Amino acid sequence: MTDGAPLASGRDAASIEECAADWLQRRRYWQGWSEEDQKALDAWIAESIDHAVAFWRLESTLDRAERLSTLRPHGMRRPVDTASRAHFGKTFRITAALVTVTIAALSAYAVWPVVQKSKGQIYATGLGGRTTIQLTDGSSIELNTNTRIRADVSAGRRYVSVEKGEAYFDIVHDAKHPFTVDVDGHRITDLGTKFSIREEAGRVEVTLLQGRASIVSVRPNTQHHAAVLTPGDVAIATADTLSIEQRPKPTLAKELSWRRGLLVFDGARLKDVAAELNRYSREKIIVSDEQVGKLTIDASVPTDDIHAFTRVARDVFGLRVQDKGNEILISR
Amino acid sequence: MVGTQENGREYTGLGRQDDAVNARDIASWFVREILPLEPVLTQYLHRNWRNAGEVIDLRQEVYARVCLSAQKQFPDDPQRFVLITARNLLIDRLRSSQVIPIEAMADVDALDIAADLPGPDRIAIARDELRRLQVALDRLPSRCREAMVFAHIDGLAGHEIAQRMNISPSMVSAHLNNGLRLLANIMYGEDDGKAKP
Repeated sequence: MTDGAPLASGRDAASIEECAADWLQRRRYWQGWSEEDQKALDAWIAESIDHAVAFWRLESTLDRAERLSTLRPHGMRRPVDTASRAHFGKTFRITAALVTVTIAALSAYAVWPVVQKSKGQIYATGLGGRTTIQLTDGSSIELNTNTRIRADVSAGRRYVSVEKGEAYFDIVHDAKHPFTVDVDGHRITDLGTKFSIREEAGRVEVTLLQGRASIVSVRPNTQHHAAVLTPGDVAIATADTLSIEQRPKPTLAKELSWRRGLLVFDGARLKDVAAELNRYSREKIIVSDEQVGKLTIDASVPTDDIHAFTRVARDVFGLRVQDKGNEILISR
Repeated sequence: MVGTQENGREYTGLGRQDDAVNARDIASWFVREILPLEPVLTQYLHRNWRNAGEVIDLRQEVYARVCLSAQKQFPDDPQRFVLITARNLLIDRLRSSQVIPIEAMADVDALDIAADLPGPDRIAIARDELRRLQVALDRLPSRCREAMVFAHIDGLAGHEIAQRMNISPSMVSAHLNNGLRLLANIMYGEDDGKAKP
């Protein structure tokens, strides 16, 4: 062999790799792969060990890439995708012009009597449930898993109380009839907005996506807090605290992905992912090991398939997954 | 330890047999034991071979030799075996080139150093798998990435991708072909990961 001669196999790796990639992409992405095609491929692989190793290498890459689809089903694009970001940007631009609320109005709401709870219609979802309620005024409310609300919407009256869970409100503007939502002693009043409320053990999170709304505490004998929310604001209220933070739009989009039946996690700890998924399922994931709980993950998990996540834990993290009926134990 | 069950020590037993092993076994052994060594192997070749343009060919030749040898017997220590195979290949190539650069004398030491490196951390690889996939996707050229995202995240077939991207099916093929090869280089390549097709 002389200097610069091809390798002993007499083949150039790049062109072999290109052939292997062509076989694979034809088989994987296009319709009409036949038995004859498979035979031809088998023959090509058998022809030389160089073909075989190049094929195996790309085939295993493709196998690994398939994990993308287990994580992001339902045709979901990556949350950082320009498409979804652009969409959100547009939503936000439309809203800015929509509403004005004066702080003066706030104090007026603050002294409104607490509306009697027994009135109105009850709507509820069970574990893993999700439903959309169309109200007679054109507004809609989407209930997430394990949620219970009471809605009293009729001529001249727009009142909802959230007893537990999480809901997304898309409210039609009616200047004469503000839409009022009570949750855990906090009152959210809005004038044509989109916002979500999540209630969990006395902690209330209100995320405002569009328009403007106020939140005030109306519980007797507690210190009163009040704030006006603008798009991107997340108010976190407990019995005696109220804090507001601004979250970036992509984060908000992820937090509301449940509306599409998805939970999107970005660098989330395994134990937090498990806790979130447990909200949707009778079966509960238990992460036994603290170290395991600290592993981080990027994932989109369908809310109706807790096992999609346990499969990832097993296949991607190599963790042990034991299904014990109502509990799924995840450990090393 | 995470992932030990996947590391497949049961193959040590099989490796003691003199019988030929079938292609399926070799394929799965290759993917499980040898491909994760690609960064170590590529690094070794780069360090010991001056013509960087030949490294991909050399790497393929090492893979071919390793798999041929595995047909007879699986090596007990895949990393050591891969590096010894690489060293022998380089020596063969040096001999045939009739010009022995001084650096070649260092190859035995280089082998020892490389062999002392911790093996690719399979736990870390598993843990980072999703992030790596995302990072890998993000490194693809934009049209190529678009095609791969349509295929793998949106689950579209080739002709649907062609419609969405408004390009011909053969262009889609080219993007997917390229995407797959770049992805392999990023996923199995060196950690600094300058992907080259």
